[in-house]
Formats: sequence, C-alpha cells, structure tokens
Amino acid sequence: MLEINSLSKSFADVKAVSSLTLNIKPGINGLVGENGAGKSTLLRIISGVIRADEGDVKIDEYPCESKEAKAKVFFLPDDPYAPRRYNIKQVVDFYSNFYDIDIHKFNDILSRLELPDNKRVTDFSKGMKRQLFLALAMSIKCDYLLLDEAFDGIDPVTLDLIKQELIRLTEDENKTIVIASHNIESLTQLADHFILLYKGKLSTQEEISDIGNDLVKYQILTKHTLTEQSLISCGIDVVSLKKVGSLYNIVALNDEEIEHKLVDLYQPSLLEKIPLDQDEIVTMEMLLARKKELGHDK
Amino acid sequence: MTNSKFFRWQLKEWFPLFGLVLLPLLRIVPQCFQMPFTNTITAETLTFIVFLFSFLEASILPLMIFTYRWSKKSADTFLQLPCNEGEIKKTRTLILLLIVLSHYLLLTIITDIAIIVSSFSEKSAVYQSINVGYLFLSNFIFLVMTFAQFSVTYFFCYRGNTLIQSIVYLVVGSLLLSSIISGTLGYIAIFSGNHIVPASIGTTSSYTYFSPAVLYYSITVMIYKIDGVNWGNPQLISLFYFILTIIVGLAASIYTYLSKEPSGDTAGLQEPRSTFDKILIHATYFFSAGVFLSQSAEKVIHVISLAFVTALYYTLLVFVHHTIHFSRRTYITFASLVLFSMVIAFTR
Repeated sequence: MLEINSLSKSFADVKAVSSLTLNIKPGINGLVGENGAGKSTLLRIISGVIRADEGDVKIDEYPCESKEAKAKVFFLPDDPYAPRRYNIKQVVDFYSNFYDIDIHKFNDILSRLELPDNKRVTDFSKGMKRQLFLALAMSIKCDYLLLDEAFDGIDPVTLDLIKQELIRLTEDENKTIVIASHNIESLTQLADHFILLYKGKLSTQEEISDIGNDLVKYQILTKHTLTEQSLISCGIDVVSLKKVGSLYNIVALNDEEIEHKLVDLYQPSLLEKIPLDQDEIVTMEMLLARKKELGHDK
Repeated sequence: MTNSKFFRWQLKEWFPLFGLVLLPLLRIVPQCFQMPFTNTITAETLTFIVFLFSFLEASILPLMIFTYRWSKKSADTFLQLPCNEGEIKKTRTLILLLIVLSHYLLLTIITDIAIIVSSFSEKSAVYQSINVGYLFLSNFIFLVMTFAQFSVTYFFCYRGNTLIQSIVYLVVGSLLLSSIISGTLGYIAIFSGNHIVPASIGTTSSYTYFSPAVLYYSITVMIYKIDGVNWGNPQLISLFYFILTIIVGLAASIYTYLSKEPSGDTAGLQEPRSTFDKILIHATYFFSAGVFLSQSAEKVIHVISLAFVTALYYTLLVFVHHTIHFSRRTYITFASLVLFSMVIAFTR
C-alpha cells in the first residue's frame, strides 16, 4: 500500500504539493493535472529523490526515503538519464546492480522494439530512449512503478505494445502503477483509477467507472447568445461552453433542473443531451478543478 | 555507511582513473632509482614531488564525487537507487579517497626505498645523512595533509549544485582560507592606524593555505630542522599553519560526512542552496580586500588591487548565480562591501 499523508513541498515561493493525503490503489493509476499541478514533484517525493517539507509517504509501512521502500519502487522520470558512453547492455548492467531484472522479459520486449544494440543511449531519439527505459521499467521486479510523462514521443504501434504489457503487469504480477501523463486518451484506455491534482492539491480520486458521473453535456441550438456568465446567473454550474457552428456545447454539473432552465431561458430549437467521452471527462474534471479553485480564491 | 552494491559498480566505473592518473607518476620511478648516480635530485625534492602530486589530486578529484548532483536528470536516477540516505555520497568519497591515498602511499614507498637504498650507497655521500625516522615522519605528515586537503576540497565542492558552482566554491574556498587570517590582521592594522602592515603580518599572509610549496616548506622546516638551533618565528608559524590545516581538514571532513545529503531538488539548481553558500563569496571579498589594502600605503596600488579584487568578486557572483541579474539583497551586499573597501582605500 502506498500511503501519502499531509504531504507538502514548496520550491521558493511556489507550493508544488499542498497538504496532499492520498492512498494509491493497486492497478493502474492515471495521475493527471495541468502543467505545474505537482505530478512530477509527487512522483519524485515517492521515489525518495526529493524530500517533502511536511508530511510523509509510506510504502508498505516503510518511509519512502528508506532503502527498503526504494527497493520496492522504480521511478522513470520524464527525461531518463544514461551515462554518456553507455549502450543498452551497459544501461541494463547498471540497473541490475541494484534491482532484480527479468532479463528474459526485457529481451522479449526489446526484440519487439527494434532499438539499436550498439549505439550509445544518449544518441537515441527521445522516443527510442523512452521505449528502452519503459522496457527496463516493465522488466524490473518491483511492486510499484512510477512513470512520469510515460507516453511522450512514442509511436502508436509501440504505444499499443507498451499498454498491453502494462495491463499484463497489473493482472499477472499485481503491480501498482502510477502514470503521470498529458496523453489523456492513452490514460483513459489504461487506468483503473484517476487521480487529479490541481495546484498541488487532490482534486479528484475516482474509479474510472465513476469519473464524470457528476457531469452532463448538452447540445443546444438557439437564436439567443449564450455566455458562461448568463448560464451561471440562471443557476447552471457551467464547466465549459463552446460554440461549434451555430450549435452550443455545454458541459455542466449535473442538475435535474438544467433542461428546464435552458428551455425557459433560451427557447432552443434543439436541445439534446449527449454523452461525454472519457478524454473529455478528464479534461472537464481538470477544468472543474480550476473553476473550484478560482471560486475558492474569490 | 557505504553501499556494497554501489561500491562495486562505482569502483569498476572509476578503476581506469586509478591507472590513468598513476601513469604520469611512473615517470618519477626511474628517477628515484637513478638517484645514487646523480646529485640533481635530492630526497627532499622527491618527497615534495610525490606530495605535490597527491596534493593536486586531493584538490581536484573530490569534484567527481558530486557529478551525479550536477543535473536533475542524473540526480533522479542516482537518488532513487535503493540505498540509504547519503550512502551514494559516502561510497563515492571513500573510493576517491582510496585512489588518492593509495597513489600517495605507492609512490612514497617507491621513493622511500630509493632514498634509503641510495643513502647506504657508497657512491652517494649526500644521502648518508638521511634520517629514516624523519623521512617516515614527513611521509606521515604529508599523508595527513593530503587527507586534510581532500576534506577541504570536498567541503567546498559539496556546496555546488552544478559543475560551475562547484569550481567557483573551490576557488572561493581557497581564497577565503588563504586570506581569512591575514585579512583579519590587515584590518586590525588598518584600523589601529598603521599605514603599512607590520612585517610579521606580511610573513603570515604569505603562508597561503592552498600553496603546496609553502606547506612543503613549512613541514620540511619542522621535520628536518626540528633539532636545529634556530627554533624561532618561521618554525612557530609553520607549526601554527600545520595545526590549522589539520583542524580545518578535520572540521571539513566531519561536517561533510555527518551532514545530510541535500534533497534532489537542489540538483542542477542555478542558485546557491543555503545562506552559508551565499555568504562565502562576500566573506572572501571582505578578507581579500583586507589583505590587499594592508599591504601598501600607496593609493594607486590600493585602487588597482581593489579594482582587480572587485572584478573577481563580481565574476564569481555571476558564475555562482548563473546570471548577471542578482537578487536585491545580493546587489546591496556587493555594493556595501565595495563601498566600504573604497572608503578605506581613499582615506588611508
């Protein structure tokens, strides 16, 4: 179990993580949030790279900075490091000094990735480097995998392979995986749970099946001009308002009265409730977090 | 204390360094064994060459301990490895210290054998006067000095978050340690109304901490003339600086060994990470200016010296902050210290 208690971390005057309390569940956890939400900072604290100012992180009862906890975790940063002269074999040799690596599995994944054996890893493209380190991360026998910006620069074919492997890891080996990414589409296909951070605070933590239950989307055609302000003034908790051609798309917090309010106020020639897709739900949850924070600040 | 897995890996990584640094030294070995046939190399010169080499190694190699902290990327990799806090730093320190000390011991053994053999040779009367006890004592003292130098270099390199910062702190540390006593005495002389610093202070200021030649001179004066007739001022100053070096070295090693590994968020940070680090450069300027201003009564020399020290001060600030735009507090401190020095320069 990965437990985070009242965690805070500041850089100069910026509060990167603020009083965060969270239990990370087994399975794949999608960690989402805007730039600067504290995702990378959180992963770096959990892996023991940086120290928190307040609070603590326990990994199976061990403090995250202890040797015992670190042996259970592998953190893949957004820009992984390899010494300048190292090729793939040397990188694996380096990590095998500290972690138990399933070499058979690593070679199996590597054979499907077509990475050059003898080239220096520092000469790899960003995507190739990420493929190598993901293959390594998935082959390390540890209980917790922390992947920062895991899918950046990876082509769709390889991405599909990696997703399958990540799912297999949680099913067969019961691993806990935390993936921080802006690739919402990939995350929604993979994640069992969603953790949404906003300005270092926990905004939402939900099962993938529960996320977005509080949101509703309408398509509306009307001769009136709709603005966020006008919708708010008539009691609709609008999250997003977009005009596509002559149609308005409204995403708002679910309310039984919302349809009546829209009909009464705007006399629409078309009013249709349409489903939100998973990517859209995550994006709307992020927007909602921002609006809540703004409202709270006011 | 150290991590055995990391020790093995790091030793393998740095093993070429052991041989690579030793190669130029092997040039000394034939010279050692030619000694009975030549008078151009004396026992003192040989022990000095070996000490000088070890001193230089001890002044540069500790930089390598902290290479993993000079970028966020490598810090993310190294600091997440399953090691206890500080083990990586301690393991790397131990390996480099072993390299430096083993080089020194290896060469000392070779040169000592050569010196002792030659001292018994009939062909070389010069070496017959060598006292083996004094020779070993000087070897031991040089070993302690090498360790002290390693610790002091380590302490200053440890302050840097980047390569440039570590080098700047090394320079700043050298300047500070070489000027802190003479600078203080200089200010005392200035404020007590002396136009020129007394000769004893001038002598003291020439004993720069980081000068191996001076250290060597100090130690040889102590060792070879310990039973001499003139046990006067130079010997006392030598003894004082020797003891000071040991104290500073020990303090540096104890502090750095016991201090916590800085959090990974300071890795690659383009700003000094603590108030102490920020103060170091300002303190160095203050004491260096004290030395320069107390050395002469000529205003022209004051102004030229001050311009030089101020330019160096500004340059070091630029390098340590990685920018020419400092915080308001840094600007105020800089301006205040320069103004203070200028007032002294023009009013003396």
